[in-house]
Amino acid sequence: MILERLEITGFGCLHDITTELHPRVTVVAGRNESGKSTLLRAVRGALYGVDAGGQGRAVDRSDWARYEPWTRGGYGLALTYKLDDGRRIRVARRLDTREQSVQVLELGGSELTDELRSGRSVTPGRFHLGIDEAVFCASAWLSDDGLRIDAPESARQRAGQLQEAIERLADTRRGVTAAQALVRVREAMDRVGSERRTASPLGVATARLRVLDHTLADARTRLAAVAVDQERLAVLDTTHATETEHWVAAERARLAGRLSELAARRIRLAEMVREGKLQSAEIEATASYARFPLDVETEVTTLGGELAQAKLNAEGAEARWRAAGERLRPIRARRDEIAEGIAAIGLAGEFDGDVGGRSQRLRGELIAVASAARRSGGDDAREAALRREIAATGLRTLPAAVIDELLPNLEAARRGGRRFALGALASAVIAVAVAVGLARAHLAVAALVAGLIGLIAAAGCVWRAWVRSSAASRARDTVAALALEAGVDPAELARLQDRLPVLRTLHEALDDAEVRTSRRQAEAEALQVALASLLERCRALAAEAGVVESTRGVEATPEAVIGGAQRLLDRVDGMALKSRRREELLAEDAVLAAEESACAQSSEDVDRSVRAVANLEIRLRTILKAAGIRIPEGDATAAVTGFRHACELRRRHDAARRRLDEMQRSAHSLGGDTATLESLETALAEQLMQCGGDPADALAAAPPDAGVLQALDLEAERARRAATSAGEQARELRARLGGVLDTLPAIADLEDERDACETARDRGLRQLKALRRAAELIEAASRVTHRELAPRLAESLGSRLSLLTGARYIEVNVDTDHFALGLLGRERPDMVPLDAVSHGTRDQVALLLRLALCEVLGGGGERTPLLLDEPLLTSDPMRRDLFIEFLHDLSATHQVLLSTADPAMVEAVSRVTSGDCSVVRLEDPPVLDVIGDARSLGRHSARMRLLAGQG
Amino acid sequence: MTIRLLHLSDLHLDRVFAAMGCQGELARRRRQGLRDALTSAGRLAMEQGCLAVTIGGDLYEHERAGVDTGRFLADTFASWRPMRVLIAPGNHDALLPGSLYRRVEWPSNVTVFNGTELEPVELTDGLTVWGLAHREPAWQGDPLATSPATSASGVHLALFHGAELGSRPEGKSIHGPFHAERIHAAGFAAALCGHYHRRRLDSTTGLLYPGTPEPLSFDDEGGRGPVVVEITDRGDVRFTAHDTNRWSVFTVECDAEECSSVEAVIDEVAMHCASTGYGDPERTMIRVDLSGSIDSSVSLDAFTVELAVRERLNLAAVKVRDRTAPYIDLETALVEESTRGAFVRAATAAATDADADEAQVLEDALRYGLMALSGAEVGLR
Repeated sequence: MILERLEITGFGCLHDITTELHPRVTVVAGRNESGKSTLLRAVRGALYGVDAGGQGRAVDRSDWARYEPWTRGGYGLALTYKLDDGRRIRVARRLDTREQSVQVLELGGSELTDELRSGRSVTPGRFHLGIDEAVFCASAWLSDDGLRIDAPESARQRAGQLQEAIERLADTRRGVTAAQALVRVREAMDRVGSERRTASPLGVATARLRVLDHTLADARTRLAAVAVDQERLAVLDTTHATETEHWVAAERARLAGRLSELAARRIRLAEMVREGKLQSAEIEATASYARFPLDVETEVTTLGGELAQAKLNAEGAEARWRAAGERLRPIRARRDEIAEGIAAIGLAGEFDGDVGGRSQRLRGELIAVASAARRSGGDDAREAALRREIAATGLRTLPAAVIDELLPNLEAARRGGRRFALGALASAVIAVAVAVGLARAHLAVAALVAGLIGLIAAAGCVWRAWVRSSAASRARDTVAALALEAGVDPAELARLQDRLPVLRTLHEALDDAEVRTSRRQAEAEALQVALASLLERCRALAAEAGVVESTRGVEATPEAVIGGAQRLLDRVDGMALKSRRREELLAEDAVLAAEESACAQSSEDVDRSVRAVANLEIRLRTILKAAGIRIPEGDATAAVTGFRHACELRRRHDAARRRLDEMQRSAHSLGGDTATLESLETALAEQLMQCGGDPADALAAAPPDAGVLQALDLEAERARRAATSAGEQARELRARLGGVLDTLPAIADLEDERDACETARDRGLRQLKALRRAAELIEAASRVTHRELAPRLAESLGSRLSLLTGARYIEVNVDTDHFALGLLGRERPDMVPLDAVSHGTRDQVALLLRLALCEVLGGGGERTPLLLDEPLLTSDPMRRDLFIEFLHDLSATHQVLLSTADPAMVEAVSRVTSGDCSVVRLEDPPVLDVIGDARSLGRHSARMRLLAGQG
Repeated sequence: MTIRLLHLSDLHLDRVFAAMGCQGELARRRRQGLRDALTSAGRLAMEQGCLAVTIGGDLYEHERAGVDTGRFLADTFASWRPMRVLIAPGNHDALLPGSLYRRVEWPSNVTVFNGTELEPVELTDGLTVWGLAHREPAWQGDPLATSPATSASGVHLALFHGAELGSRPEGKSIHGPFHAERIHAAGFAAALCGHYHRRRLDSTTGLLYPGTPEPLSFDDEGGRGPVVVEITDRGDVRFTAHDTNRWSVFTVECDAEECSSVEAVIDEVAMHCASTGYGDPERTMIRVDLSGSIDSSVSLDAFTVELAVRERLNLAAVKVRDRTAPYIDLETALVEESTRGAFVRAATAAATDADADEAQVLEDALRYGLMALSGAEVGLR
C-alpha cells in the first residue's frame, strides 16, 4: 500500500490541509505542537476510524473527543492510497458526530464502503493491510519513544522486554499477555476462595452452610418433637375434659344413687322403730311364757297324737269283733258243705289240668279230618254227568284236538268273499251316480275324478272278495279231511257244526274233573294215615286221664275211626270236668278258712288296743305334770291343746325378742338414728346439685342395691382417677413444653441464612468453575497461538535481516513460550540473544520485527507503510545516519512517513536518501519541499497551511 | 340485607425470603409484615361489618411454622370474635400430623375444614359456606368433583385451595385442579379460592383469587390485599378488592451499555430505581435486570452495585440480575489471530454443543477471560 494524499478538513490542531506523500520516504517536519503526530494519527484514523467510546468506554476520554478540531469548522479527513494491484482508493470520513459517516471509493471504480465494513465500523486498513488497528499501532506505528516495539502509543502500556511486547501483541493486541491475564484470573479465583479455605468467602459460606444444616436439622427435630408434644397435649386436654365430664357424670350418678339409698334407708329405719315398739309390746304380753318348756313340745304332741290314734284303734277293734261274730256261722256251714262235695268227687279227678286243653285240640283236629273226608266223595257224579252230555251232542268221537283245528277252518269257510263283492258293486253304482250328477252340472273334471275314485274302490273290493273266496274253499277242504280222519261224516259235521263250541267246553270240563278225581284219591290216602295217628293220640290221652276203653277193635272206615276217637275224647272231657270242680271247692274252702281265722283275730285286737291307750295316758300325764299342767280326767286331748298353745306363746315371745334384737342391729347398721341420716341426706343433696344433678329426681328413683352402689362408687373413682391422671399428664407436659417453647429457634431465620449461604456457596462454585474454565481456555489458546506465530515470525524476520545486514545475520530463532529472540551470525556458531547484539542491530531487529508482525498478523495483506513519529530523538549522528540508510533501503518495499522536529534530521534524510524523499514542513506558511525526482511524488502541488497559532 | 365476608389467602406466614435476597433483620421484618397483613385484614373486616373471614389456604408454611405462629394466630382470631373465621387448609398448611391446625387450641369462632370433600357450614340463614382441606402437600383431587347437595335454597359458596386450570400461571404447581366453569354447575354462587398469588376477580364464573396480601416475590408487583365478598338479598355476589399491602416490589430494566465504569453503572441503576416512584423506601424491594454490552475492562460486580444503590436510596433491598454481556466484536474476534481470538473461538465453539449449565459456565468463562485479557480486574457475577 502506498499512501498518496492526505486531506484534512479539521482534525485536532490541523485544519484544511492537503498533502501529497512520497512513495518511499516522507519527512513531516515542524516544531513541537505543530501537528506532526496529529498528521500521522490522521492517517491511522483514515484507515481505522476514530474511536468514539461506548460499550463501557468513556466518550469524553475517547480519541474522537481528543482530536476534535480546535477551531470551528468541519471535523473530517480523507486519505487516498494505491494498492499493489494499481487500484486507487479514497477514504473520506466525516467525524462531526460519534456515528462518523464514512465513504470509501475506488477511484474510477465503485463504492466500497459496505465491502470494507466490519460490524458498525468501516476499516479499510483492516481489509487492505490485513491487520487490525491494535496490530497496526503495535507494528507500523512508532511514536516518539523510538523504535522499540514495546513502546506503543500510551505510556501505561509500556513493558520492559521486547519478547513480552511481542507476547502481548500475539496474545491480546493490547498491553496484556496471556500470562498476565491468567494472573488476573487466578486473583479472581483467590478472591472467590475454595471450600477448604475457611478464610475465603467460599470457604466461609461452605463452613457456615454445614453448621446451619446441622443447626437446622436440630431445630427441625426439636420443632417436630414439640409439635408431637403439642399434639399430644391437645389430645390430653381433650381427654382430660372428656374424663372430667365423665367423672362428673359418674359422681352425679353415684351421689344420686347414694341419696336414693340413704332416703330408702331412712324410711326403713323409721319403719323399724315402729315395728320395734310392736315387738316390745308382744314381749311384754308373753313374758309369762318366757320359760315354758318348749323342748318337750314334740314329745307331748306325739303322745297326744298316738293316744288319740290308739283310742280310735280300740274303738275299731271293738266294732270289728262284733261284726266277726255275725259272719262266723254261715262260713262254718259252707265249709261243711264243701267237705261233703269233695268227698263225693273222690280222688278220680286228680290229674294234670292240661288234659282238657289237649282234648279240645285233638277234637279240633278230628273235626278237620272229618270235614276233609266228607269233601272227597262229590266229583265222581259230575264226571259221569259230563260224559253223558258229550254223548248227547252226537259228536262223541270228535276229540278235543280235532275240534280245535276244525273251528277256525269252519269260520273261514263260512266267511267267504260275498261282502266285498257287494261292496264293489255298491262303489261302482255310487261312482257312476256321482259322475253323472257332476257331468250334468257341467263339472267334467270333478265327474271324471269321481268316476276314477269309484272305479278304484270297486277294483279294491273285487280283489278282497277274490282273496276271501279262495281262503273259504281251502278251509272247506281241510274240514272234510279232518272229519273223515275222526270217523265223522262231513255232511253230519256241517249240520252239527254249531255244537262244536259247546262240545269243546264240555271236553275241557271233563278234563278238569278227571284231574281233580286223581288228586282226591291221593288226599284220601293221606287222610287215612292222619286218622290212624289221631286215634292213637286220643287213646294215649284217655289213658293218661284214666279212662278205661271198653272195646278196642279195628275200624274199617274213616267215619268209624272218627266216631271212635270222638267217643274217647268225650270220656276224657268228662274226667276233666270232675277234676275242675274239686279244685273249685278246695279254693272256696281255703277262703272261708281264712275268714274264720280273721274273726278269731279280732278278739285279740280289742284287748291289745285297750292296753295301748292305758299306757299312753300314763306317759302323757307324767310329762304334763312335770310341765305344771294338770290333765282333767278323761280329757287328755284338751290338755295337749293347752300345752301347745302355751308353746305357741313361748315361741311368739322368743320371736318378738329375736326380731327386736335383729331390728336393733339393723337400725345400728342403717346409721343409728334418723336425724343423722337426714343430715347426711341434706349433704348429699347439696353435693348432687353441685354436680348438676336434681335431688328430687334421685329421691323419686328406685334405690339401687348394694351391688349397683358399689359399681357406681367404683366407676366414679375410676373416672376421677382417669381425669386426674389426664390432668396431671397434661400439666406435666405443659410445664415441660413451657420451658422449651421460648427457646425454640426460628426455622425461617435459619433457613433464610442457610439459603443465603447456599446461594453464596453455589455462586462461588459457579464462579470458580467459570474461572477455571476461562484459565484452561486461555492457556490452551495461548499455547496454540504461540506455536503458530513463533516460526512464522522467525522466518519473516530472518529473511529480511539477512538481506538488510548484508548476510551478517542469517537466521533468527523465536521462542514459542515468550517469543525470546536469538540471532545466528556468521561470526559465531551459536545463537546470540538479542540483548547481546549492538544497539544498531537491535533497532534494526525491532523495526524488522514490526514489519514481520505486520506480515504475519496481516495474513497476506498489502505491505504496511511505516509511520515513525520522532524515532531517532536520542540517537547520535552516526547511528541516526545508519538507521536512515536502513530506512531508505526498507522503503523500497514499505513506504515510510517520518516526523521530526530536528532540522538536522531533515537534512540527514535528504543526504542519506540522496533526495529520494519529500519533506512536509508544518510551518506558517506551510512549505512542501520536494527533494529529488518530483515525479516520484505522484503530485506536485500541495497546499499546506500551518494553523497552529493562527487562531 | 347485604352480607359481607372478607376473603384472603396465601399469606404464607413464616416464609423464607432468601430468594429475594433477604436474610437476618430484613427477612424478619418481612415475616412480621405478613403478620401485620393478617391483623390489618381483620381490622378491615370489622370496619366493613363482615360476618366472617374466609381463608383459602396457605395461611402459614407447615415446615417452618412454630409455636409462636400458632399463638399469634389463635390470639389474632380470638380478638376478631364474634366474627367467625373459616379456614380451608392448602398445600403449604396441609392438615398433616403435627399441623398447627391439630395442635393449637383454636378459639370458638374458628372453623377449620378437615375433610377432602366439601362440608357445609351455615353462617347465617340462607348463606352456607362449603369448605375442604388438603390433607397432604400434593393433593391432586378435584375440589368440585363431588357436587354437594346445594339444591336447598339460599346462597352457597365454596371455599378451598385449588388450581384453576384455565388461568394457571406458567410454572405454577397444580394442587386441587378444577375448572371455573364447574363453579356454577356445582351449585355455588362463587368459589373463594387460594393458591395463585396474583389477584383474580371473575364475577362471571364466580371465581375469586385474592392473591397474596403482601408480595412474596419480585413477580408480585402492584396493589395487594384481601377481597370483600358481598352477597345481596337477591343472591348476587360482588367482589371488592382492597389494596392494603405495606410492602412493594418493583422490577426495572436497566441498560448499562453506555456505562464505562462501575460507578456509572451504579448511577444508572440508582436512576432507574428512583424512577419507579416507590413509596416507603424502607418497605420497598427492587429487582434490577442489568443488560447491555459492557467493555471488558469494566469490572462489574453485582453485589457492589446492590450495596451501593441500597445505601444511596435507603431501600429495603436491591437485587441485581447481571445480564450484561462483555462487549466483543465477535466477527473480528473470531478471525483474530491471537490468543484472545483463539480463546473466543474455543469458548464459542464449546458453548455451541454444551447443555444449559455448561453454556452458562462458558458464558461466564468468556466474560471473565475477556476481562482478564483486557488487563482489567475480573469482576465476578
